[in-house]
Amino acid sequence: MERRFKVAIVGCPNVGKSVLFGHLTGRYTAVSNYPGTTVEIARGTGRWDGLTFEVVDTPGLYSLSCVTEEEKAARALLMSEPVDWLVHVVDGKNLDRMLPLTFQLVEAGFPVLVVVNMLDEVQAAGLEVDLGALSECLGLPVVGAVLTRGVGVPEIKAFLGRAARSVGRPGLPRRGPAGPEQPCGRVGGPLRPAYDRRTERAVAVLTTLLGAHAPHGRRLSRRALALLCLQEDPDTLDILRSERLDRWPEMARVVRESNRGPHPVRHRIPLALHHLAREMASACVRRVSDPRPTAGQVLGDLLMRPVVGLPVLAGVVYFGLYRFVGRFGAGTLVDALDRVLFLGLVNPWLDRTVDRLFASEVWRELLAHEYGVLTLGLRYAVAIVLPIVGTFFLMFSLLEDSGYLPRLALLADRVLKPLGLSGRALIPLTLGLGCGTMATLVTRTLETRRERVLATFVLALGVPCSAQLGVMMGVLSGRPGALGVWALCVAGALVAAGSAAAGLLPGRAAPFFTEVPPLRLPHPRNVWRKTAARMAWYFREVLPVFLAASVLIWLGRMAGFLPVVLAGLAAVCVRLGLPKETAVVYLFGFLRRDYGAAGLYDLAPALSTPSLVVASVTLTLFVPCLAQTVLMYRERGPVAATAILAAALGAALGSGYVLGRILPLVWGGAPW
Amino acid sequence: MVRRRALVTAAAMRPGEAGEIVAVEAPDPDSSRRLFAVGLVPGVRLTLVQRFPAYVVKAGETTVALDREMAESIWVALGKGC
Repeated sequence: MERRFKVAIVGCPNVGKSVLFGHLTGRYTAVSNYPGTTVEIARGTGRWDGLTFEVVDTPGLYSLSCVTEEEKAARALLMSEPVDWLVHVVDGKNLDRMLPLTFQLVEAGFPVLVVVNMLDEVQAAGLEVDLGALSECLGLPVVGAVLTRGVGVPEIKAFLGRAARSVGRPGLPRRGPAGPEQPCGRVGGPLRPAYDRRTERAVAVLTTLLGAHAPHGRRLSRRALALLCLQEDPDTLDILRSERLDRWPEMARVVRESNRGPHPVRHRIPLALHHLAREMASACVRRVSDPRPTAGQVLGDLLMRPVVGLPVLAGVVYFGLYRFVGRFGAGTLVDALDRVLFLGLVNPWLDRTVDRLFASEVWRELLAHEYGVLTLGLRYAVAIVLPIVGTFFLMFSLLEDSGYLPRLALLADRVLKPLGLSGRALIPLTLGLGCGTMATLVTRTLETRRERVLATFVLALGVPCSAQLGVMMGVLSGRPGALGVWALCVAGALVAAGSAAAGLLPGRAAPFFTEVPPLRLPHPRNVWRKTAARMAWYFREVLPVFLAASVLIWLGRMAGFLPVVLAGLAAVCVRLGLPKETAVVYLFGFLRRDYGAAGLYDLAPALSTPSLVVASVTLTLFVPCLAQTVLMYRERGPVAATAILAAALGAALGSGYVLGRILPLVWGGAPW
Repeated sequence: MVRRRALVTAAAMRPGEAGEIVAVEAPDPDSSRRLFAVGLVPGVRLTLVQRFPAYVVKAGETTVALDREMAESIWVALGKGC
């Protein structure tokens, strides 16, 4: 079989990698998680010049000495997958801080094509990039581009085509075939940055110690590995510690000694790269006119100011998330699919068909009827999750591609800091008011594991989903005092438990830091492709969760342990001063949050106001619904998920107990 | 002008003030690396755009938002190169 030429697109966040990916690949793309992480990697194939190319869009990478999980995933991919050519997309306005990565890629031994993108923004900034000179300086092929408008794409394809044909033919330079339209100078190959003598000596010692071949499965050159070691990159050190046992002590000593003193090598290396990059950029970039700020830049700056930014943020959250995702997606669309399609047509047909096919009640209940795998599990995934996921990802991809997300994060950061969360967490938390299961999935967009755990906890504890919120409002609205106490208690418990968790969880809050790109008009095709690929992926992830949840319910009913659980819960309810019928409400609240809340609706007239407050506060804080719980286990792992459940249960019962003691004393059960 | 050419952290700058970065000393090496990676390195000219709700600085064509802790790790010689 013909071997495909594999191209990886690399570069910083927001430089247009995914736009280029869209240009190079056909309709079919697959988004998946990088193994062991929650970072998305998109893969696709493209055909041109009679050849087939495999294209990988890697996550944003600033530097090979990585910090974020996305960077680590991108580097791990470069280290482990055979890639024939790297396309390094750079922002032409910021050449000085893009080139250090180019140098590192060359140091690591990769063949690189440099795409200088955003030449339109370069022009608007009053600058001009001399692509010929840049190619000369770097010793690499360079293509200029405005990828959003497709400028430069034919040249990139043509270059990759020639590179693919030259594979395996001897005598061709590794940096690839030069063409008339790709100036490709520098006799003697690409530029390799040189460091000061102390660094170079340490590199020489380390490369010798690394031996004749690089550690197993690593595709970086020995020089690049040595430089990463010297910068005390934890992952690289771990790899070497585990693979080169005999020489490890000697290597560790070199690294330690190089980083002693006021000017450690781990600082000198990045600084040397940046100085070289600045020199090169000033040689290749000229100011030709005064900058004319684009509309996107002016608007983008305004949106960071609280006076303009906060109202816009409120508007984005209200219209974009609450109205569009929460009301239209989770309301109108879900209603249409669930009530009309499933409850009206599909489910009755399924019930009849299953009843005809199976005589045994056991099988009938497993597949269909109230809790069946098909009638509940499949229906939930298709009719409830898909519309919410679809509308959410459409909105998210729009916000992502327009460059708005970092602005949202910077505006919300201070508010969420006490909970140990950064501004980015505003998105999952707002979504939690729609559907907690969905929101738990979306905590993946947060940067650190610590932050994901905290957000999952806050969501599980006290962010009521739309179904619950609706019924709570219905039950409590007749008694405004009760509604107030409920809101205060839930908010108080949320802040108290959230900050307690933030204090208890090991590690510290990652300092907030984000690059703010100029606002850009999102490309519809790109937004759509991202949305569709993500929808397909999330649907695949969620379907098994819902199927598993309905099997669990079925098992519970068949094995007959529901009554046992009910009896246990009833005992707890009595301790809280609630009638034991509320146990049913709790149990159903776990199976389906909205069922639980609806059960409370039926029970409400019989309850005194203090009891009603206790019941609604505990029900809100109580463990989330079954689907969200299953998802928590899968996303966060058993340890974190169990801890979260235990904490939520403790907070719910604890505050219920305290309220149950205090409220009747204060108000004596009098009508408010 | 007492503040002229004074050495301050970015957190102590006023909106609109500019200067040259002389040192980056974040509390942990990862944070320093991230500041380097977006081009906040010694020798670069930095302008403080705003302080609230987060610090926003510009260096060249790059805009970066930071919290107080990160802003405090960037040392700037005010007014240099004006």
